[in-house]
Amino acid sequence: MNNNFETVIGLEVHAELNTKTKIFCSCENRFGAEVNSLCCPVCMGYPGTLPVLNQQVVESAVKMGHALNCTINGVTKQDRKNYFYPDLPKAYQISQFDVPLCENGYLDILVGDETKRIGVTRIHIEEDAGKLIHDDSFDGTLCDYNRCGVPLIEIVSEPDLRSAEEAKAYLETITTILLYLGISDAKMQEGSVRCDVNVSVRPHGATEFGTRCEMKNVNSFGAVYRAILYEAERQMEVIAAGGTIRQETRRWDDAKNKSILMRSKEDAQDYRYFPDPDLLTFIVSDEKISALKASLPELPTEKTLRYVKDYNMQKVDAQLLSVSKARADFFDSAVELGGCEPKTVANWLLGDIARILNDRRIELSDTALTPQHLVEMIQMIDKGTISNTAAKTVLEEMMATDKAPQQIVEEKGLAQINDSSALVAIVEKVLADNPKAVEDYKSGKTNVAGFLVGQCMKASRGQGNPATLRDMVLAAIEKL
Amino acid sequence: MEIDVKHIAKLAKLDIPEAELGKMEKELSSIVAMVEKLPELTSKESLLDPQNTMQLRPDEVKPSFPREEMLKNVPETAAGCLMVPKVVE
Ligand SMILES: [Zn+2]
Repeated sequence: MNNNFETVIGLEVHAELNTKTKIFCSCENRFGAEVNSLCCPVCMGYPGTLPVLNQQVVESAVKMGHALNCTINGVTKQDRKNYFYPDLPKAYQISQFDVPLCENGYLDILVGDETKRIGVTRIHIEEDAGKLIHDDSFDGTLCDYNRCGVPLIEIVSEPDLRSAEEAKAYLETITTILLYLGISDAKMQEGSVRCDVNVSVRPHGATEFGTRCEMKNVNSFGAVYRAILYEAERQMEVIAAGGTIRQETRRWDDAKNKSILMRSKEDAQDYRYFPDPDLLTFIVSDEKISALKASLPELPTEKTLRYVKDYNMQKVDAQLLSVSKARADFFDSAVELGGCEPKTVANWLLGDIARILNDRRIELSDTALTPQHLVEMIQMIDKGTISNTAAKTVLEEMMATDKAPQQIVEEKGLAQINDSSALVAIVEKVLADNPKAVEDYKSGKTNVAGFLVGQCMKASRGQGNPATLRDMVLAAIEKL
Repeated sequence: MEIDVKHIAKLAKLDIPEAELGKMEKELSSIVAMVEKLPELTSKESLLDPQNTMQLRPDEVKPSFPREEMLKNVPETAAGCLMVPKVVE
């Protein structure tokens, strides 16, 4: 990477909304249905049909506008964007041109230890296009129009991003917010979030932007990162070799890790936008706009910063908690119940619980675990009723059944043994079985004590009090 | 006003014989000249019409059309899809 240059990035993010119906007709909005089974004359663009705008699309978009601190244009309209391609049966896409529903916002993102504010130029509503199937076993290209008319919001950022890391953080924050608001499935791998990336480079300290190239088809967080690194490098090489960057649209090929020229500026599309005569001006009332604002949940970046501030948490842990709304909500409920350290709750959620969920590829909501039970379990550890080791068994059981930890401890006989007389036999057996470790300890390798205590814990099936056992092990070795 | 008939024809995917370009340009120019006499729109707000707004639709699913119905007008179909001449992206 050439250090004399800085990279300037802007992102256009398209997110499919998870409304029940399409944007302009009452066909179901669903992914994965049989080809052309969710179509009607409106979404297939038959002549003489009239689009009718879905109210929920407007509300979802306004919510996103609030989440990104935008001005909401309560009086707005829709425009036709004309282009010829068989994924678009009307030969125009209904979008918004000069009066987007939301504009002039911003998003605060966390990059390392920094908080950075990224401008959001606009958010507008539009319809998705259909899907083309290119298959050599057919003489032509096949068109599946189920996706035609699926509602989209397009979120356009200012060219405020300065590195691939920042772009990735921005995109991740956007998708997390979509999930927090519950307005999109936000699955990049299913194409419900797609991204165009604008990249330019300029010498450090320059005030003018360089000529930018737009990359299409950048469809995962990783691809966004790689595409930006590649494109910035390509542009710097062109400039270093004495060339100039031409404004062009390029296609990102993630498998080959390179971008390919699609069209240069001379061939730039002329979309001939004009107001759609089939759709009138529409109004979102001030009351509605305020009510939607009031309905917003606490958003991920605010949550992260609150956890760091109120609970003295590491930023990386706070972010891991708030990146999943389900996990953050669980954490908040547990902390609200009180009676234990928030950090301990976080450690369980990000440690053993996350590992079990990950191993089994399930979500927190797929388990029987409740905030109440987790808090009770932590209290039992704090009081010395159970050991940390026994708690892991209790946790597994709490995730599988809806039994309270108290009941599980009783049923499985997991209560911690603090009484040393009950542990004497265990300590003696472990020392007798591990003469080498005892020898090592005596010759000064005192850290084998941990191993011996571990063996005792194991032998007590997790019920021994580790502190008591440690004292006993050390005392017993001294006597040998 | 100069009209680039070739460019407009390209955007509209129309084949216009070379010989007709001159005639077309003349005709289009007179149409544009007429439209230009319309009262000037002063701002983008003027394209909005808050006095005449539309009702939005509740988000309720209604059955889609049967696929066979939808594909009846389609010149060529295959595997439940419309088939068009091969396009490359
Ligand atoms: Zn439809």
